[in-house]
Amino acid sequence: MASPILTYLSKEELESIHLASCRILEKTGVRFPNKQALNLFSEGGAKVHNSSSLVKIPSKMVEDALEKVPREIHLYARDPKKDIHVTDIKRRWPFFGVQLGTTHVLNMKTKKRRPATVNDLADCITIVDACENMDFTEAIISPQDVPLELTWQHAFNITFRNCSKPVVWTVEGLEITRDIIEMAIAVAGGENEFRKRPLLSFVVLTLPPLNNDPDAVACILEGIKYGIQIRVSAGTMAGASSPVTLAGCLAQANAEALSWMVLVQLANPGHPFVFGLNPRIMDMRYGTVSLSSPEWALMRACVADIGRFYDLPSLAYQMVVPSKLVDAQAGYEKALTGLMAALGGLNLAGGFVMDSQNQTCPADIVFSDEIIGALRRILRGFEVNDETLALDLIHETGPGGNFVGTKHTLRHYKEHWHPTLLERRSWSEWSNDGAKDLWDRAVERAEQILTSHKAVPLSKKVCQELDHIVKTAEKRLELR
Amino acid sequence: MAANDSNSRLIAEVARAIQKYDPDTARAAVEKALNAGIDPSKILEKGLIVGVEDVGSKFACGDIFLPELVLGSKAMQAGLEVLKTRWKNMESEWKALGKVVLGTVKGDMHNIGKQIVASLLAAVGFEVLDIGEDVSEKTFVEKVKEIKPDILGLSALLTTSMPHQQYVITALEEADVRSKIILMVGGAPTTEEWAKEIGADGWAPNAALATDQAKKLLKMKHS
Repeated sequence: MASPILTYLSKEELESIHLASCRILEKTGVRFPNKQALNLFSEGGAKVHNSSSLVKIPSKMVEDALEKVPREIHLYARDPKKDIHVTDIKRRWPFFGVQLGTTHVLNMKTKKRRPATVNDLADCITIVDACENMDFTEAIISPQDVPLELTWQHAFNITFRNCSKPVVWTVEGLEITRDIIEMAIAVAGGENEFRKRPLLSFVVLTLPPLNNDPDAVACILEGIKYGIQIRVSAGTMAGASSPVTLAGCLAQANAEALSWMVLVQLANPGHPFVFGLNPRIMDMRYGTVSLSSPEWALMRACVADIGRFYDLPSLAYQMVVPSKLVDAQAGYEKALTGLMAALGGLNLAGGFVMDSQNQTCPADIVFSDEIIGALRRILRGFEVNDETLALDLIHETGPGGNFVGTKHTLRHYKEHWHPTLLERRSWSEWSNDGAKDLWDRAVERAEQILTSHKAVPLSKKVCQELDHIVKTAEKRLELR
Repeated sequence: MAANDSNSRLIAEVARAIQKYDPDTARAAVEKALNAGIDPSKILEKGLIVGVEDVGSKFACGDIFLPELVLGSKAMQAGLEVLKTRWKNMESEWKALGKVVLGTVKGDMHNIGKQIVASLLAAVGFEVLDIGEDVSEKTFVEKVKEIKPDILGLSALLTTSMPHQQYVITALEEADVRSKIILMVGGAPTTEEWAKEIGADGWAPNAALATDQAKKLLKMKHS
């Protein structure tokens, strides 16, 4: 099967990065400001300084943990048909899903930006549910029309209702995390059912350089108790929270991710774990993070290379664009970063937001979905064999002949990808049909989905339980 | 004449060290100038400040970027440290532009942006005290009472820690110290609207503009 293989880092370079990360872990260490974590590290053989929460991890512990990580990915959906089970993590076939927490939406009617609401979140999650190429979801919006302290309880209530695909939570706040676990348990139909099929994955963001949020550590340790898959995302910012040179940026991120791998395996040997790096550069003019730069794009492939070097399930973010509109820049940024992630061969690829993670739009999600379709076609490859070389057919059809009406063409033409959003007709057909640009077509498609699509509904009982969890959180807040 | 020429050269070397973003050279140049008997206030005004202002204006027109700006600030501060230890009358002759306390609010461990702001504020002559991350409302109030800053800057990088900027303002009001300070907020998820909503005096989208705003707000307060 002809299929693309993109390798960015050579074997020697991967070994150098690995050795560098081990050196960082042994010599410089990582901070884990959490007593339980420090105890686990200490009992496991790391050098721990309790007062500074600094952990120095010998490479033997990294090797031991590496042996324990399951070489599989299981994402459970409340609709089992939408489960994702990956047993061959070397296969270059990423699964895609939206990330957490934009605060604004681009209004599809006015093209103006405004704070995002619970209704916007319901719409976007419905779009994700309908999109063929979106495999998992997170609460893509942080709704601005609910009390700030109850943002995520409301957001996940909406997310579970409007999408039956696997759900992800990038942890913050132990109380909030407990509420979300409770919601997932309610959706699963009870704790036993949830433990058999955990409907939730957790992402932990490290705090580069070489530090962690104490709350986040607590949330992950809680999640491990329930069998929830843990994904780490080490987001070093070259020149700000890591060396500005890409090798150093990767090596430090790698060290941070490996330290989490060690902790998770100490807490529960054999626990489902996904290795994730999100190295990016800082834009030195504005002091902002620079997403979708060529550096960010190429590092997606590097993350996949490093994941394969360790034979670990890998994760990175892509199609997270600084663009404020669904315009040419957005198209270029999505294609550039999506292609690098896909050709690199990550196992899981999150992202799909605008304005450097501050904004989303149903039309934008639909556009991303279209692009993934094209990327998947590139990854799918093609067969080179007697049937596909079609020598007999070429001979029969002969010089000056026509292949359109042949049985062979009928058998195989659907292997080519057909877009739903992209414009391929003649100029006059396009012009007579309203001369719409991509934005118009994406908005139309999004609106069509919103009028016609509904996720597999949750039972009334579960909906009531979810509402009850939100109400309980509200009461807790009032009592403070 | 010759002495003046040579003094001008030594002062120019101080400025050049800043413009070359080199703290070690800045320290050495200030030492040299002091040893030559040059008036410390001249070294400050015509050497260090000229140097850092040049760096600032090059950044403003996009000729140089943050690494140069921050290193230039570090060079300025290095030179200033030498002046502080050697200039006996520094306390009375030179007052910092103002006192700034910076902190990241409760529940938030981010600090890089705040550190860049601290660097730039120090470079333009503020006395800056960074009281760290995950700082409670109570600690902010205590520090304001203890240090009596002109400006308090609150940093938050998470949408979920942003409310603490509001809680700090409330705590300061309850302790009856809010009106005594200029309060600025910042951090990636914050906006001008948010700052207005919670009653902050200032906000900026990046470190360089924050420094400009701090100077402006202080000037307005004193006028």
